[in-house]
Amino acid sequence: MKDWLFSLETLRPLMEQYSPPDATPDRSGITNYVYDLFSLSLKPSICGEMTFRVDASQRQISCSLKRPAEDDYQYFSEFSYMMEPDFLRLRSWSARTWMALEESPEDAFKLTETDSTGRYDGRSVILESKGQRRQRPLRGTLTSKLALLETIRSNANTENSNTLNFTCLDEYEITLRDHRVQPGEWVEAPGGHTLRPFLHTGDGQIPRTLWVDKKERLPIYVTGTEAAVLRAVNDATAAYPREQFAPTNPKRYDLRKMQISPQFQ
Amino acid sequence: MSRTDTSRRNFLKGSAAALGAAALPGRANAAPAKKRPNVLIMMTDQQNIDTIAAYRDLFNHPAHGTGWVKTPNLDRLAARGLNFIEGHSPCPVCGPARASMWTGLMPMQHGVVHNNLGIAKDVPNIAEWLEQHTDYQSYFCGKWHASGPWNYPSVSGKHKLPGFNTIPAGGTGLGDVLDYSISAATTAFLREYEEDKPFFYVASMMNPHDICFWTESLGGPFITRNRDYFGLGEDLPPLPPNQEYEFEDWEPFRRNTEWNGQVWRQYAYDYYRMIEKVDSDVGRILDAVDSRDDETLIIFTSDHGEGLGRHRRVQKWHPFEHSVKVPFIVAGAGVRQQGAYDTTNLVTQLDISATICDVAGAPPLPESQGRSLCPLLRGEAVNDWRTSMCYDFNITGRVLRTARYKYVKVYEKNQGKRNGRWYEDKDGNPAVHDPQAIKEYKVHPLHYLFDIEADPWETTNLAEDPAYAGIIEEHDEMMYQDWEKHWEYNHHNTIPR
Repeated sequence: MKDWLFSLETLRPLMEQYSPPDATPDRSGITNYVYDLFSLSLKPSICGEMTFRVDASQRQISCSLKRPAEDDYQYFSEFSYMMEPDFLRLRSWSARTWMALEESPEDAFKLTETDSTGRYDGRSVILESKGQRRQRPLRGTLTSKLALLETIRSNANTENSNTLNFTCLDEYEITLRDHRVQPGEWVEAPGGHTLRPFLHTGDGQIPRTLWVDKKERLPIYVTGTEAAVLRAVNDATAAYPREQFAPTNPKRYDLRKMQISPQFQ
Repeated sequence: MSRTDTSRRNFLKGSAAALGAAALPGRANAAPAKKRPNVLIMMTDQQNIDTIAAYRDLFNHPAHGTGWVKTPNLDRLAARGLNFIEGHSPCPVCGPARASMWTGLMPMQHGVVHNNLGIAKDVPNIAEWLEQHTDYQSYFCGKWHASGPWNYPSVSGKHKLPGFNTIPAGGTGLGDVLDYSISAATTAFLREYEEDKPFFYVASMMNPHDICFWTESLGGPFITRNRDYFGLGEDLPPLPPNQEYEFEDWEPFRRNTEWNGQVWRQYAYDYYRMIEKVDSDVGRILDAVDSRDDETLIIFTSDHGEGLGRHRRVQKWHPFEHSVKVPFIVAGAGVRQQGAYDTTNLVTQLDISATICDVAGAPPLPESQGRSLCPLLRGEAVNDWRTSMCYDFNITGRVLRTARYKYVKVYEKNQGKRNGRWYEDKDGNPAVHDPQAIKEYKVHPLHYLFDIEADPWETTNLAEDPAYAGIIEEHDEMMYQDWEKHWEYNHHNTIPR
C-alpha cells in the first residue's frame, strides 16, 4: 500500500495553515490559476511562480513560469498547448524561453531566447525552431507535463479513474517515455484537507504526487524537491501566510548555512 | 566490469578508422588555417560513470545503474565520441574538482581543498588563459562553485568570473528547477552565436546533485519510515553487493547505517530519475549543437560520483570508485562518429583544460598537471601515457591509481584551521599555501590497497596482507613522488611521510 501522505511531509507547516481559493473551475469557459512554486531543498520556500490558463472551449492551455536566476535575472518561459477534446492528448504547442531582469521581462538577455513550436500527428513529433525542422517517430499518447495538471484536475471526482499511460513532453522539446499516472483514494491530509492523490512516474520523473480536492481544484503537487501550491483561481485567492515562505534570494544563498543532518557529519 | 571487453587494440582501430575531420591540432595533413573549433563543455554534478545506459556491456552487474536508466541522449553522444572509461575526478567533491578542471592543478596547488574556498589569486583559470593567448570567447552558464561560498557567477560585480562572460542562471540550486534554464539558455546561445571568433562555452548543470537533499532535508522522513513509499516494487533497483562491506575507517563520513534496504532502493530509484532528467537537458543541447554549421568539440563529464549505498555511503568525498569514476566523453570536431571506448588509459579532469589549450592553440596552463587528450582523440598510439595517477579526497586523503591497484592513504586533518574556517589564512588565502599548516600534517595509520581489476566493488583491503608489501611500497613511493611535485609548486620543502 502506498504511503500517500509521505509526499506532503515536508509541506506540513504550510498545509496546516492553507485554505485553497474559494472558486471552482469553469468547465466550458476560461479559468485562470496562479501557483507558487516551492523549493523543498532546505525548508519550504517560494522559488517562482506559474500562471496557468485553461480555455475549455478552445481546448487550449497557456502557461507561463518565472524562476529566479543569478543577480536579479529571472528565467521566463511561456508555453501554449492545443489539446484533443479529452484534454489528455497533445496536438500542438509553442514555447518561448528567455532570461531577463524582473523589472524588464521583455528585454531578453542576449543569446538566451528560444522560440519553438511542435506538433504531434500520431506517428511522429515535428519540432521547429529558428527555421530548422526536426522529426522524431513516436506512437501512442503524448501529453505535456504541464498540461497534465488539467487532465488530472478534471478527473478529480471520477471514482473509477484508470491508470494513464503516455509519453511526456518535458518543457518543450524532449519527449520522455513510459510515463503513467495512477489514481489513489481520498485521504485526510494535514490541515484537515480531504484530497485525492495521483502519482506521476516515468523516465526522468522524480515521483510526483498531484493532489486534487472535491471542488475539482488541484491545490498542490509535490515532487522530490519542488512543489506547487495553488494561490489563486480567477479572482479568488488562497489563504496562507506567504511571508513565512518568502522567496529564496539567490544573493543570500550561502552554502555555509546549509545544515547537514547529524548522521552525515 | 570486465576490463577485457574492449581491448586497447580495438579502441585504437575504431578511433583511427573513424577520424574524419581536421579540427584537432597536430595532424600532418591539417587543412589550411581556418577558424578553430568551438569548445563546449557539458557537465553534470554527482553522476556516476555507470549511469549511461550505453555502457551496459561494461557495467553489467545488476546493481550498476546502466540497467536502471534510460539515457538516449548520452547514449547518442557516446555513439559519436570517444568514451574514457577510466575517467577520474581529481578530488571527489564539487569545489576542488571544478577548480582543478578549470586550472589544470591539483587541489593543494590551486587551494580549493574543500568546498567554498577560492582559487589562489595567482592561478589563472582556463578562460583567462584563452583570453590572454587566443581569440576564443568564453561563456559560463550554471554552477561554478570554485571561488568561495557561492555557486553561480554573476553577470558583473564581485561574483563575475574572470575571463568568462556569464549567462545568468542559478537561483535555488536545484537541478529540478534550474537545469531547464541552463539547457534552454545554452540552446539559445548555440543557435544564435554567429561571431567570427570561436567560443568556449560551459553548460554546468546541477542534477543529479539534487539527491544530496534526500539526505539533508528529506532525510528525516526517509530514515524514519520503512515502506515502499510509491509502491514501485520491482521497479526499484537492487542493493549493491558491497553495501554491507565493513572496514576500519578513519571517519564515518557520510556513511549511513540507519537506512534499511527499502530506503536505499528508493534513494537509488530517484537518483536514476535525476540522471534521466539531466539526460534530457543534454539532448536539448546536442540538438542545438547539431544545428550549427561550424565545428564544435564537445566534452561531457561530471565533477564526481555518488555513493548510492555502496559501502553504505551517500554523496561523494570518498576514495572509492563510486565517488571518483565519472563519465568522460569527448565528441565532435575531429572525433565524429566514433563510438569508441578507451578502457585502459587513466585520464583525469585535469586533462580537460590541457586539451582545450591544445585545441585552441594556447600554451599549456602554468604548471598544468594535465595532458592533452588530442593524440588519443586522433587515435594515435600514445606509448608514454601515464601509468599512474593521483587524486585527493576529503581534504587530506590521497589515492594513487595504477592500472590494477588503488592505494589509499590519509593524513590527519584539523591542521590549517585558521580563524574558525578550514584552510584559510587571515587574508583569505588557502592555508595549504601556509608552511606552518603543512608541518602539522601527520600520516594516519590506516591505509588501503584494492585490486580494482579483481575486486571492482572494493571489498577486500589488501593493505595488511604481507603478500602485497612490495606493491604497497611501490605505490607509496609513486604517491610520494607525485605529491612532492605538487608541493614543489607551492614552494614547500617538507613533505610528511
